[in-house]
Amino acid sequence: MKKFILANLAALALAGPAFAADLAVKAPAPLPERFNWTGCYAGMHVGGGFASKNVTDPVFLVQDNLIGPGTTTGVTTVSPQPSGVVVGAQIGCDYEFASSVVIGVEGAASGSTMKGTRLVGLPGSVPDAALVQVNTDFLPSLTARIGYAFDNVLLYARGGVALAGDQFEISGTLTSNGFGPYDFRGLDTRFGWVVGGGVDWAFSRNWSVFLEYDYYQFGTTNVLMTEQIVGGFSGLVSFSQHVQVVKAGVNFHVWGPGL
Amino acid sequence: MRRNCHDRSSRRLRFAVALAELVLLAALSTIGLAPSAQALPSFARQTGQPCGTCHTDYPALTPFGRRFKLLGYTTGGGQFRTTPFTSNDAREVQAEYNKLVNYAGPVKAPPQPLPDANSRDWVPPISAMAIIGYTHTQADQPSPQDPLNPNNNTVYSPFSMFWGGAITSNIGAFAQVTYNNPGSVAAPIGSPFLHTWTWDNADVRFAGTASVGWLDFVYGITANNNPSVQDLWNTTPAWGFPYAASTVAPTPAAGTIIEGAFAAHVGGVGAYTMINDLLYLEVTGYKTIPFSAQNALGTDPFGAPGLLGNVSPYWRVALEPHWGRHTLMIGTFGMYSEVHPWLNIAPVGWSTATDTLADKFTDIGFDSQYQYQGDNFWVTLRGSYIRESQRLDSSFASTAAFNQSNLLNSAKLQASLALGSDNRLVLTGQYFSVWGTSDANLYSAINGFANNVPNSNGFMTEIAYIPYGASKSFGWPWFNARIGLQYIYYNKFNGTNVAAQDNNTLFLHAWLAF
Repeated sequence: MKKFILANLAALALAGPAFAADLAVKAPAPLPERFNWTGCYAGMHVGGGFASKNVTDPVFLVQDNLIGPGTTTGVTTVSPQPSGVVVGAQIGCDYEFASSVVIGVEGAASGSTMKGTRLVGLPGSVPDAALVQVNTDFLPSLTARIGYAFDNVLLYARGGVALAGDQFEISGTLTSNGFGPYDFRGLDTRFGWVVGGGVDWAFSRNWSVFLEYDYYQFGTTNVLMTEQIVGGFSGLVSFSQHVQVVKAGVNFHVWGPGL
Repeated sequence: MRRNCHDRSSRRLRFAVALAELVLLAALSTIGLAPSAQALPSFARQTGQPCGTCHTDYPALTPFGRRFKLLGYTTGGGQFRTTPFTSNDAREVQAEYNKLVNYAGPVKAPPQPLPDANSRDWVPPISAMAIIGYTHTQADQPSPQDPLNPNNNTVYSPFSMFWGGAITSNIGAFAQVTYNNPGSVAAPIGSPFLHTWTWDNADVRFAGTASVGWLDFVYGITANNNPSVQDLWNTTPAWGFPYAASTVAPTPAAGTIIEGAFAAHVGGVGAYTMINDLLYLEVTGYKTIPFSAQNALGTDPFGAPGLLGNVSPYWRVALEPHWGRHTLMIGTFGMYSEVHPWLNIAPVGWSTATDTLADKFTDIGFDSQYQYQGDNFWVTLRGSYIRESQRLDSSFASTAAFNQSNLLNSAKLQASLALGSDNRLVLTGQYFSVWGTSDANLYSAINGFANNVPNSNGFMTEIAYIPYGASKSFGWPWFNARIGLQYIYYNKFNGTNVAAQDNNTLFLHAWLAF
């Protein structure tokens, strides 16, 4: 008992005097936890795709195959502007440095309804015209991204490699020589590159939404077009394209077991 | 008319006999021997776990089963030593096993402490399985079918033997050799390299663990013979549903390269890692096995579309978050292959030569799986989509293909409910579809297609009964069984929905493992 009293006394002595100002001070409120972008995520996106394609030379393909070699003079390029909806998913991982710089890698894949058509006249078979149709239905990419985190808001840029799954069709009816309907088709899956940027906002511990713009460039390539109705006719057509995509999406962020 | 009646009664009789055989076999396995069922019994002996710890419906894996595979089939815990060597006996792997236990609700501690690992007996991890199945198709198959019947066939095939388990504390293997019933005379005639015994799925792994800062790694090397056989999820081709299928029923002729075209024809070596028990990454390279070696292993080299020209890269990325009893996976996988087709596979005059030109296939797959473990049930939802871009330089030049480039797609959506621990009932439904661009030569009538398209789609349902899923009753851990009734409905078959239902298949089977 004596020891207990002595201990209490000692405690009081060490506590020192209490001032009025002390009574007004409250325990400091804990700082809100800063969002950490380090982790992995998966999510989905939806947006719009707008492509520009140059097709050279559909007139030569049709006329010199179906009417006869040498029918075509000059070079014709048509430029359909496919557009459509882009829907897909992405998986990625990020690492946030103490300086708030974030680096990461992301794989994304989109299906697309991008489709465009152009009619081009056939001088060797007036008044016939060929319908040039181009579709892009697949748009995957593998990109690195770098950004700066303002707590739960991340501004970022990305760049990497991309693929485009394209389908081409040149069809119509030749009346001048009685050939009738024709339908040239070709497919191509081509590599290219993509750069873009956006803003990602983490609105909870595990979820974020983003808005992003991407520019894809796939260069120029030759595609073998094969006639499907009669058969036996084929030829190369040159296609060049770039695609712009604006998309919004949601990501679910995780790291480690048990979330 | 009388003949039809006779046919029907004869068919009923054959069905009844087949049913009786299956029931008898099932009874022998489940009642007469009164065993507990295990997935691969050698795995059960090694881990000391009942089949339901690793499998919702074998070979479909639970989170525990996926990690057992990830760790190279080396996890111990059973009454037998995991390896023939008297070393430290998987001390590291034992630690991993302790982590795995968190994923398995029904896992029980051994009733009495096991002896020291090195003083336990070692039993070679060898198992066997047999599938006995009765197949009925909606319409008879065209003659001749000898030695099979035009319909209602009971086939004792396949029969497989396995090495399944640890070799050292860090190396384990799943290796299978299989006996297949000889096909009917209507099957593609003439390859002089058809075998009844063949090597089957094989996956040899080295696995280890490491920590770097805040990152935990399980890492490993896999050597295997079938792209995706090493995968942990049942959404990729090698271990996808259906897990047992009739070997005599007609099936759609078109499929992507990654869906088994080179199974057992290739050898591959790859590296994989699982980071923080969340992110799985893998890269593997495949190369075709030399012609004579394939033949020596019992594989018909002409069963593949040709030889791979270069090393074919295979990749896999999967993100698997898990919380509580929920597990979600979102992933991608794929492979790039350059195939040099055989120049002549005719029965007479065949040649091992291949075309100098190659057909190039780029397969990109996306898959997802959600799994929920209830108190006494599992719910699993799966989806997969594979897109194959084909650049057919060789086939186009030889006119085997009409187009130089084609597209082929394959998609599956599946739901499965496994009810009960013992006396487990598994209900599975799946929609499947294969579709692609038209090609007048590749998908011609001569090749069995209509309308010059590869399209097939339909539904598949199965009810399976697994007598022992969680207990360790008499006979454990030496036996296992699964009885399934499967029905496949085709809406479209090889390009047409005309008479597509003629191929609808009922498959009643008993799957015995011991």
